Amino acid sequence: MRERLLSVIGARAKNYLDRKVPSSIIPFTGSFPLLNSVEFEDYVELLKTKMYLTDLSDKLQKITLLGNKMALMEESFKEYLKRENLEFKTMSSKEKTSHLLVWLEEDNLSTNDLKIKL
Amino acid sequence: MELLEALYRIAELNGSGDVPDYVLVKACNNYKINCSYFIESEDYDIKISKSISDYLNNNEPEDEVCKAVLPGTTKVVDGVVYIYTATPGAKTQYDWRVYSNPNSALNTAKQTSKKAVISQRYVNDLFPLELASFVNIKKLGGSTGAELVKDSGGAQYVMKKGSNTSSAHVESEYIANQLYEILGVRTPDYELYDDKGEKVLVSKFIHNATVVSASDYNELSKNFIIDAFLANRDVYQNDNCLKDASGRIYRVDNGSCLSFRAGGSTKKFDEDVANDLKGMIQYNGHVIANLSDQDIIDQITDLQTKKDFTVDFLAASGQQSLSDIISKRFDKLEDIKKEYEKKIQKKVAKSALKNAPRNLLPDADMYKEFDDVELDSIFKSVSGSWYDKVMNKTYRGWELVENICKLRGFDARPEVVNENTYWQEVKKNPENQLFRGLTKGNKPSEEYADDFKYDDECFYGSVGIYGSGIYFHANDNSSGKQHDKTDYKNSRAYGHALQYANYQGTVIDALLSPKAKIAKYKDLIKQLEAEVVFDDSQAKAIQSKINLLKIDLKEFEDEFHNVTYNTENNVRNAMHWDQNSYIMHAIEIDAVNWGAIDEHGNPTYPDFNSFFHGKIKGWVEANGGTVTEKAPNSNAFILKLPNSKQTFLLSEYTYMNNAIKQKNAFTKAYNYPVERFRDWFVTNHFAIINKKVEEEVSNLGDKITDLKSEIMRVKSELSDQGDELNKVKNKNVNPDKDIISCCVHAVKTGREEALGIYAAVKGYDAIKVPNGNGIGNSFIVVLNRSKVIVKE
Repeated sequence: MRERLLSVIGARAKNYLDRKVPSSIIPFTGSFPLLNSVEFEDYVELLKTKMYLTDLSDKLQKITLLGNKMALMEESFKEYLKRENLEFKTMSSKEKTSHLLVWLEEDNLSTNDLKIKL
Repeated sequence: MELLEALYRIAELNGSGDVPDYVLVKACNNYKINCSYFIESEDYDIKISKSISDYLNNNEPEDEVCKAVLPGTTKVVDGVVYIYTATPGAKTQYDWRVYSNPNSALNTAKQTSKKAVISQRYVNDLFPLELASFVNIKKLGGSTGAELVKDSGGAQYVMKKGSNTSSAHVESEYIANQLYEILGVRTPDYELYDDKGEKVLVSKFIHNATVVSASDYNELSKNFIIDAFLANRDVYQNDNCLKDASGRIYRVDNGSCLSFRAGGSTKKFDEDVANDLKGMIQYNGHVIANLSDQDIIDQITDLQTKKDFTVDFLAASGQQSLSDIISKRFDKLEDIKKEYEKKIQKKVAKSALKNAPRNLLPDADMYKEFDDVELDSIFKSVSGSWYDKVMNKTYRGWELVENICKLRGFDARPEVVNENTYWQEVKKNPENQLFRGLTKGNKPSEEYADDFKYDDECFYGSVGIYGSGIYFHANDNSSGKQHDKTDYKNSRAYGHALQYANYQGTVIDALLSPKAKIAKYKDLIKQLEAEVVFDDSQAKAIQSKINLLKIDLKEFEDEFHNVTYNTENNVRNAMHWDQNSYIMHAIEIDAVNWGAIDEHGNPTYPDFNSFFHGKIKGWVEANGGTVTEKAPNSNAFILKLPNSKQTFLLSEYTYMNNAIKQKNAFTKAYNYPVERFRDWFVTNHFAIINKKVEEEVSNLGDKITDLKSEIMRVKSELSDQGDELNKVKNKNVNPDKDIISCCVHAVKTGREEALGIYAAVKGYDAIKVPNGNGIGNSFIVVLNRSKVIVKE
């Protein structure tokens, strides 16, 4: 149930919805931002009045799930970097790609998961 | 007689190779329906059996039998399809030969020999025999290049060709569909074809299907273990699961099962089912949110009962190596089950820290005002941009809020009291009673609860839209009731905490000290906004424009919805769409156990009278169709629908005799004529109406185009105005300048997590959010753990 509460899943997702570059460490591809600034403001207000994922329209449910997925992936990749004692910012592009691929494999993901499609 | 002559003429053309077999079969079926004196009967069936038996055994055919059998009749013997047609060079003018189907996977392999090998590969009788008989309607897109196609009767299918990804990928999806089917999970009906070496998967198109949404997740999660077992990693993504008009869920796109990913690349698929399970749990929490550990165990136990026939099925299908892997994966399920059983049984050791003294700072230190140097030092304690400072988390939760709380000594342990003391304190301050629901993570939920009570290291939370901090539910909506130890569990706040605990975790029973300094959420925002003074007249003007644009957008969207909705309704009404029968025919046909037999081995499915007259007739008539008996007392009925010339013949004889079929020994039985009826009913009525709706909606032309472009225009203008508003709002604020500017900017741009930072800077112990998320009770966002009293 916890993962269907907007105070959890919506709160996790929201920070990935209005950004032109959703993550500074994972190269997600797609049409960003998923919500423009007005839609985002309405979305945040909606989160404050609704309890469950089911309380959102189908489109916003989908957008929430995409944001949540990006959030979970970023969290997991950060954990990987920390565990491997890696400083992302100082790595070369080649190293970044190499570690990204290792982590994707570890998490049973593929580069296809980097495509965020509404 | 003209009809019969026409049929024989088509048979002759078929014999000379000028007409394909499927056209002759269709002509034969038309003849059976339209010829007033032809009725299928036992006598006719016997003649067909005798005729083909003579052919297969090289016996001299009997004249009378030959005359009786209609050209275009087909018969399957040992998995090989035969057709009765004009046959140059045979002993008689008409005789049997193997159905000419160069594209069918099965028949290609078997045309060379009349001795069929019994295999679990099968001909799906509900699909056309020839790939060539499909006509392309449109491309559906996607990485697998799916196409919408139709057969000669108009029924629609989704076709995936091996050339778009690989034949191995298409074949793997076919096997995955088979596995889902024998494990009892619904997929659209499907068939695999072989087009000169290229595998082609064809699945039935589900009309009026919708993508599953959050309300379907509980249903979807009932087969979670099977999805993980088949490593169907993308199953809950995009539109890989669809719901039909009856609300039944189908796994429609299973290309990411087994050793393939959705796009056709390969992935590791071995005995390590635990690894697949872990990954699927990690990214699908929303789907499996209501599954308890016991539910997982139960699903595994149920799946384990299906090991033998699943493994046998694969072996019998020639998939020996896959069968071996699947067998090992079944064995590994036992380990996973044991792990879950251990979790349930595990008793958590009480923390040894519980008797250690609390280190409390004096109030003068706890609530002191930070000077600019201290604030700067706090701000720089987390590296990166303002955004990183607000959002960065460590394993102890939000980092910046933690740093401030540590400086104030807010991270000190709470006051843990015995039960009596707790209830006495609650009685004094009932509205300060708090509950916090915890779920398992890297450790059991009880350990997290103990960490909160006894661990010197404090966890500061990681999600929340009202400010960073530790979230509790306040029991403040019970009007003085439900604060007693006998009934507090009935309170709304406790119920909500239980949801956060997934109903199986731990709920911390707590109380906020009456001495705590609490900031009300809205007051805190006002206080923060007052930190930066600027002329907001320009912002207000833009906001007014945005409000007007939002009204315009709603009006255009409502009008767009009304126009399309009304058009759809009008078309459906005019063309006799009956929603009830559309839903119920599918449910009721599937609800019958067509393969059931009694203790004498006789079938027990409903008799013709009850199913035809009790169900089918009503469905047809409810949609404006007619049902006419072909000849008096024949018990053969011609069904007609109002929007199609294609009629359907259903007789008691065909319904009751040789009607029950199975795709293979492991799948559910079905009634062949009833399934044909289902296809005919959907194709010649509902699909036709759907098409008409599409046409009428597109014929709305200018109206729809204008509305769409107006919606686009207003959306674009809204987006521009929103950007402009943000610029104006933030022009006086440099979020990277200092911690207050950072908080102001963050909150203005929807990152209210920063409210927790601001509240901690200002020395508040907690933030109170009345009716947070509209749930009825308040949230209390705790910053000062030492001001919490916790029940032992």
